[in-house]
Amino acid sequence: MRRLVVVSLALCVGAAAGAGAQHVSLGVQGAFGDYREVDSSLVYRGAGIAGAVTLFWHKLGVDVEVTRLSYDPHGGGADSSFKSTQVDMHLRWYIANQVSFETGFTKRTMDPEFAAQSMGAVRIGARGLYSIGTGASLSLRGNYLAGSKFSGGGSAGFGVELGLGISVGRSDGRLRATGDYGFQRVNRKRTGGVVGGDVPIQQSLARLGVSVGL
Amino acid sequence: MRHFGWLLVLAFASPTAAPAQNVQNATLRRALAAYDNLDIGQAILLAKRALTERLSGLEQARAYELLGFAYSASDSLLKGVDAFKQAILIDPDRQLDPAKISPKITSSFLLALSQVLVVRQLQVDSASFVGGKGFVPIRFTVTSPARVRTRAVSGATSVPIDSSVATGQVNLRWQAQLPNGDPVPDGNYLIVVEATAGQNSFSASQTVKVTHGAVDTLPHLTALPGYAPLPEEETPPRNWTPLGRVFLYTGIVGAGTFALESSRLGSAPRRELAAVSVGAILTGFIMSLKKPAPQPARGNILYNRLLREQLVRRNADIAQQNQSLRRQVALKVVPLPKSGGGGGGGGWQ
Repeated sequence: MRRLVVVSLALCVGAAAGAGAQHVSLGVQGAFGDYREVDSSLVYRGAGIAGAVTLFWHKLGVDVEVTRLSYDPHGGGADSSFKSTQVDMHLRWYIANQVSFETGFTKRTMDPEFAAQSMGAVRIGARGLYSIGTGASLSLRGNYLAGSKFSGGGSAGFGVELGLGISVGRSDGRLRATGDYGFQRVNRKRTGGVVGGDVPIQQSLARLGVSVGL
Repeated sequence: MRHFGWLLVLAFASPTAAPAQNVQNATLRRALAAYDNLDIGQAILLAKRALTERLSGLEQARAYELLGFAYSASDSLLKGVDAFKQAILIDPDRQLDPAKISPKITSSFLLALSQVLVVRQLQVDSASFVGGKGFVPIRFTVTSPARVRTRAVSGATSVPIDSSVATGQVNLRWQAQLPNGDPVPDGNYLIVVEATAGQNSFSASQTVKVTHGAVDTLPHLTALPGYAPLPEEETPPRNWTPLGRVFLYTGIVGAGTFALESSRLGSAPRRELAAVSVGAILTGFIMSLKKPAPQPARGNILYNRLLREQLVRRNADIAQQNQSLRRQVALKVVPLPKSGGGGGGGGWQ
């Protein structure tokens, strides 16, 4: 998976070098999130940083976001902290009326490895990007998370992601303030004879920062 | 009764007589004075004597005219007509005012006119026109039926204007062109009218000056008159759509989050959603208060494009017109004052 991320980033940077300057932006953000697993006793909250590369060329757009958070237990039965590294890739194809078809993947790894479930999934969905004024835009995103894999084994028949983004700044896109909210909910099914049925996993993530257009 | 008739004729006739002081010849002056004093016999005698003396052309015409008046007044109509014929042949443009001259004398004069062949009152009007697209009006009167040839002569160049059998008033249009259609070269031209009937012939002429000039070209248009270009961007009125849209989308995401949260995982604080939503709502509020950015006005853009295309088309037409105008010549024709009396020899029928 790591190789996939590296290849994706290399592709984005390579494309950025060849593409027109206005079509590439780099962003850095502060991030904070809420992570829950199994039941209400395993609640974690954390903060960290995130970086993003955005590239769009004609009808095609690519976002790669890397978020690193340090989660700490927040009440209940959780007793150990962990670090989460999440990589999100969104590949978009503009359809019409500001709506784009979106696909990509999400990959979240935990350190230590089994402090919480690491997971990966393919996303399929749509994104709408609407202008709300000069240099300001609002995005709405909905994805189905398919083919989920977990470090603890099992699979998920149901996985969904919602997103809300706000971006405001200079109309030429050189410098913008960005805010992004993502909500993931996955119902992991245990396998291997373990009883207990579904294990829900839920994460709310907010990223606030700036991006610079190249 | 006969004397009363003379008085009546002379009463009508006397106003035509020009002042005697214009006449150099003393005998002719005395003849005119005798006519004014109703001494017709003396007037005829003195006029005949004056004609044997040395007179200018105009004085000769005046002497014959006086004889015509005197003979007509004394009922010697044939002699009167003959005298008028001589006067007309010397000065073809001479004419009487029927309102001031007695009908008897006038009829003698008109009878004389019909018996001689002359070209009278040749008149060429001033004209300015583009070569081939205008003409110079030429008017004259032929007193009796004749073959009338009109031409313009300048040095060795002789350009025929018209040839026809005519009598009375003749109106011609001269296009000032050579036989090949080119405009005549600039210079002085003599418009010669020759009338021929049997052995009799008469010619009259008028000098005109032909000058060449460049034809004015049309200026290119920078705008179509009456059609102004419209602004291609329009600022829409301020509205609350941005804020409304933000509320709608944050509401959708909030409701979705609420619906998708697992009840087993407890109630989430939703601070992440709140942080981004507040930022979005604040942005929406500011954008609603801000003056909206100008938007392209599609209708105006299309209208302006149409206007520009029309302008290009019109200027292309003008360029084409100018190209042909530059090949044309503007002609100005002005008649020059006559240097002497009417010319030509002739006779009467």
